Formats: sequence, structure tokens, C-alpha cells
Amino acid sequence: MLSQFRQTRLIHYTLAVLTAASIVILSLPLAAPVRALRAALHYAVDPMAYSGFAGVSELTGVSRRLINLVDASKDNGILRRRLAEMDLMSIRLQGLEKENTRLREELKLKLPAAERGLWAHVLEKEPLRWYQDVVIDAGETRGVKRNAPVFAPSSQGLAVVGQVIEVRPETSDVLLVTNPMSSVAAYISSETASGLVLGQGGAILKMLYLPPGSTPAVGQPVYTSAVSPTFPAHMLIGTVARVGAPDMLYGFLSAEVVPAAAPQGFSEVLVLLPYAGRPGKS
Amino acid sequence: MGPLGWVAVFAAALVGQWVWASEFPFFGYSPQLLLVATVALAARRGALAAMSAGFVGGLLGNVGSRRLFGIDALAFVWIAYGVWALSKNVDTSRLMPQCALTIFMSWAYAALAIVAGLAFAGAPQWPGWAGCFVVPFYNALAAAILFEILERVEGRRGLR
Repeated sequence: MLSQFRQTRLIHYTLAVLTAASIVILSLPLAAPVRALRAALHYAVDPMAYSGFAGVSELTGVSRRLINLVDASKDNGILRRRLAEMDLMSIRLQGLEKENTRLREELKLKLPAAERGLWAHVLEKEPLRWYQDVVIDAGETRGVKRNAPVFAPSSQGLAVVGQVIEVRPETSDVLLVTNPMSSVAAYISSETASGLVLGQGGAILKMLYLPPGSTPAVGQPVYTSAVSPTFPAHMLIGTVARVGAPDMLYGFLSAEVVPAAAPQGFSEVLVLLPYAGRPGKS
Repeated sequence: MGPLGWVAVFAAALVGQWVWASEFPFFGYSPQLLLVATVALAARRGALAAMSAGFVGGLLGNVGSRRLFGIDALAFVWIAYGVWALSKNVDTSRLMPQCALTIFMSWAYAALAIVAGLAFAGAPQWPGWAGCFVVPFYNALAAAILFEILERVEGRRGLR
């Protein structure tokens, strides 16, 4: 009870002292001690105020930064899509460049005025029939006809690949020049040494019936002859790899020819629409 | 909560009051967090601590304001005393009495500001009608929030 009385009395004293102090401060705002007190409190308060406002500024900046982050994420998505589009455009550009190269090669090919070229992709190459035939993705609906000559780009320009032997609505079979069933009238370089290029079922062709007096040499190019009913004249077939011994009976020379458009070397081919009424075998 | 904790509460109230008033005023008004802290301290720790803290807090609060220097110190000393005096008859340890006390003390603060303004500055420190009828309820809301925070910090809820 006594303690509580003392406590109450202490509270009243404190109230009186603090009230008096407050009144003095209120009454003498311009007095030196009051101004000094105010200045001292300023020193104590200003850093707190500064820190408080800086903290709030940081906190309020979080939402703005979050919004910026979300915007950046959206921009990132847009840029990624644009990058993907650019990649696609780059691929398309490369395709166009290839197409451009192809077209240049096609221009080199002096096609007869009545013929036109049709580019197609190789759909299928069977390992067991690697040197026999291939399937291409152009058929009757695109105007491909049976016996149409087929070419492919090579390092030396367009080269003979073979001829169409089977036409379906959307696809066609191409008999390769390396097929043993294939034969193409051809000449070596200067057209003085004409012969027949035959497929051997392998990577090498054989050129037969070269005239006895001719002088074929290794590395000489072999072209289609003007007498070939299937192929346009002067189209590259390959190059002479080896000259054989003269035939014992007739004296004809033979040569081994490396095809310029080897089966593993092309994935796109140029199909020429043939003359009407052309016979099937050259 | 110890003395250091209450120093932290008053410092937070002081800074929070400035920041709230300048950055997030609600219809142009903000709660008087120092007054709320003084009422809470008086209700929990008695008049002596609340009067001392209110006096110092009031002086610090006046430093950066345009009000008379010392007017908040005087007001908070008497508010702490008033809460202590009322706590003899009212259970100030509960939420609703504290909120009601806060509203009542906010009006008392406004009245004291008018009287002190007239006495020491020759003009009443009139907070305006909205200030008289809006700010006390802001204060009550802040008192409720502070009450919940203190309850959690002091762990009283778990002991009851």
C-alpha cells in the first residue's frame, strides 16, 4: 500500500516536472537552451528520418522494380520469339542461297526451249539398292513423265543422275546411271571419242565402244552425246578414272568413269520434262 | 517487452509517422503513431514510463513539424497520465478498451492543442473538423494493429 502510494506520488511529481518542462519549452521557444535542445534533437532525428525515407523509397521501389522485371520477362519472351524467327529466317535464307545456286546451275544448263526443269527431293535411298535407283518426291501431279532425264548439282555443275522409270501421282522412281540396266550415249571431251556409258551396280561406270584410234586420258570429262534420245547433249556424266586395254576382237577401247553425281552426293535433283514420244531406253 | 523494445516501438512510431504523413496520407490524414504508442505503453507499463517516453517522443516528433515545439511533449505526458488514471477503473489490457482510449485521447490531444495554441502562440492549433473526426479512428486502427503486434511479441496470447 505504501509502495503504491509512493508510486502514485512519483507519478504526480513526474507529471509536474514534465509539464513544467513542456510549458517552459513552449513559453520560451527562442531561448538559447530551448534552441540548443531543438538543435540537438535535430541531430538525433535527422538520420532517423533520412533512414526511414530511404527505406520507404527502397520498399516502394520494389514494386516498380518488380514491374520492370515482369516487363523485362515479357520483352525477353518477345525477343526469344524474334530470335527464333530470325533463326528460321536464317535457315530460309540458307535455303534461298542454295536455291539460288541451283538456279544458277540450272541457267548453265542449256535446256532446249521446249523443256523445263523441275526440282525435287530424294525421298528414299535404299542401302541395298544404293547404286540402283532412288525415289523422288515429284510425280505425275507435278508433270513428271516416264523417261524424264534427271540431274543433280555437282562440284562441276549439273551432272547426270539417271532417268525416271516409274511415275506415281506424288513420287517417281529414278534409275541411276550406276544401275547395270542403265546406258547412256556419251563422248569424252572433244566429241571425237564417243561410246556408251554403262552402269556396273557400283560406284564406277564403264564406258565401252571407244574407237580404236581414240586417246582417252584419265581426268577427262565425259558428257552425254547428242545422239542420246533421253538426255540433252553435253551434260556431264563423270570423269575418266582409268583407261582399259583394247578389245581383243574389235579393238574398241574402254574406260572406267567416276560419276560426277554419285548417289551419296545429292539430295535434290532436277527433272527435265521429256520430249513427247521419246523412247524409253537410250 | 523490455525498455529497449519500447524504444524500438517509439522510434518506429516516430519514423513511421513522418513517412506515413508524407508518403501514404489517407485523404490527407495519417495516424498519430506516437500518441498510439504512448497510450499502449501507459496501458501496459504504467504512467512513469509512458510519460517519460511520451515527453521525449513528443519533443522529437515536434522537431520536424510545424507545430509548436513542446506541444506534443506536453500532450503525451498528460495522455499517459490520463490512461494511467483511467486504468484504475477500466481494463486497459484488452483490445477494445485500448482502442476506445486511443480515440478518447486523440480528442483530448486535439483539445489540448487548441488550448496550448491559444496560450502559447495566440492562435488555436486547430486540426480541422476532419482531423477531429477522422484521425482518432485512424489512431484506433493503428492501436489495434500495434496491440496485435505487441500481443504476439510478448506472447501473452499463448499464456492466457
